Amino acid sequence: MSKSGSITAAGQNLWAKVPKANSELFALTYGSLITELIRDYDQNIPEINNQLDRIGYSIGVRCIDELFAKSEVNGVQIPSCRELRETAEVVAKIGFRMFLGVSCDVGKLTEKSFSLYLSENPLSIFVELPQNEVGVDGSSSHGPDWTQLKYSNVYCGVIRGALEQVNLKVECEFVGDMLQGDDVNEIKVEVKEVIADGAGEDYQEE
Amino acid sequence: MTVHSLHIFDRKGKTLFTKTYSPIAVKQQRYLAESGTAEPGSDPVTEQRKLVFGMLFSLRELVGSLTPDHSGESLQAVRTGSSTVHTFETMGGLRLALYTSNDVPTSQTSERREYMDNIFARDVLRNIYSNIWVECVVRSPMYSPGEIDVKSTTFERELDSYLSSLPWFR
Amino acid sequence: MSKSTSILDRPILKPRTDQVSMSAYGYLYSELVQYHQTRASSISELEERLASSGYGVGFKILELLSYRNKDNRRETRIMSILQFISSSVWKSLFGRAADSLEKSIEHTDEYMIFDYNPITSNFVSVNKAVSDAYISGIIGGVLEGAGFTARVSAHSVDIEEGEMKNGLIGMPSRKDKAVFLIKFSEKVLERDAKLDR
Repeated sequence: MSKSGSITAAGQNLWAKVPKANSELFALTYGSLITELIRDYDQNIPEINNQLDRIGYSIGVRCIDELFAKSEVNGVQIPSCRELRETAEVVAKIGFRMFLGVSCDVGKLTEKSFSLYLSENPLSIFVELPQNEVGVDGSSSHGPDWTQLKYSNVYCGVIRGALEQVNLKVECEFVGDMLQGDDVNEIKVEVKEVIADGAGEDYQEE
Repeated sequence: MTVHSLHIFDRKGKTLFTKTYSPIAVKQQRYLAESGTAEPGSDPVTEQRKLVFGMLFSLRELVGSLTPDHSGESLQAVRTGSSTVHTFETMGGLRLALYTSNDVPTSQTSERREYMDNIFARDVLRNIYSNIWVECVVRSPMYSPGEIDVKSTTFERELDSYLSSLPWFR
Repeated sequence: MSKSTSILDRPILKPRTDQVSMSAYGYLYSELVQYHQTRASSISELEERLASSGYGVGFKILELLSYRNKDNRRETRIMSILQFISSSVWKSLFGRAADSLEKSIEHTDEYMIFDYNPITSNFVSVNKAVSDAYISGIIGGVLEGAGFTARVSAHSVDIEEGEMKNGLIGMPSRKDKAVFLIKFSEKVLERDAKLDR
């Protein structure tokens, strides 16, 4: 079996074994989080996007441990990801599959970046973004610019957090969003730095 | 066969969890705390733990650079005349170190093939990480890497009941 | 123009059968808890905030289930709305019915829904009841939306020796269960009593 084929199989294998939760509850709960953010940040869209990224980051740094542990328990071998292609495949075929049960594809692979394509997005199954308010004279009004909202920006944070735990510093951006009328959800991941493993003097402080 | 103690370090060497089990190790630590010397602002026991981390870290680096083909380059155990430190490093950089007496086998490949119970320290560490650490600590809503009071979770309880069920515990 | 189907064209009538992993839900939910925690100054405020998040979900799920329910029934009695919650709402959100529904013996205006494994506190080791406040909010939202004003609170009680325990596979075993205490307003009780005649 080809390498990418075996990664896909590993992801499906893990997905079959993990306990499941209802996707509507998942989507509604994420929705309630968004509602809180919109209220607490007074409809400041860029800040809401930031907060979502921050929340995702905190999830990402944790779920990577679970991914390794679950693989270990189920005898699934995660390749050591010496090439970016492998890393991308693991994120897409194991990460997204194991946690969300969705398929995710890798594309636009370069030495320093790749894109992830999500055709199903469990976060947004009930979502329709509001239209921007338009003034009587047709000019745009003072309401928030909803076209700037990255509803599913939490994914970017998750990927950033997870990859940082394996020494890859990346930047992620939600570049295509079906909620905004794009054909497919696209997350662009760009590697900024490969962190050298080193305890340095950090371990002096307890 | 005895389990002396367990340390869990994060990637940067911060101690996330430490517990001493055997009476003899407790006694030795007490002695160290009373008579040992340490830099001001630190106690000898903490100092010693840092040295353990430093040793594992440097050895791992050395082993890595000595291995020709980058396979199986992980450090498994360090043994002295009286005791063994078994170690397991996760892909996320978490390091677990388990001190035992020398008669506890590290893994299938270590020389004590005749060992009957077939419970190897590396498998124990792997299990502590996969089933106890991840379930109790990583899953806890309060967890963020390097910033958690492990005592606030059920980790210690689960760990103790697991370790004490092992044939070579005490 | 976009080729993708708008959400308005997608069928909502059929319940979705797709799932996500329990841990993905766990992570998301714990972020919701943390979010509120940083903004709440006390445990009771945290409970209130979580409950208010759940409240909106309750409203939405009531609407969704009523729409999906083909016979257009509307629950008008206390017992039937409670059964609706502990079976239909529970099944659609948690994949199974609640473990039991009981009427309080001491207080005639109180009812209790029991659950041995509420999803919201499966991975929590302390203050489980606080974490379950989200579900009490959902219950409150459904009840309010259906015209039954009530106060709902979450509690955690130890499981008694020998009590049946149907833990979920793959979930940590628990020594306690969640109790959702529902206290109806006087008006609701009066109305229900009238319907008895």
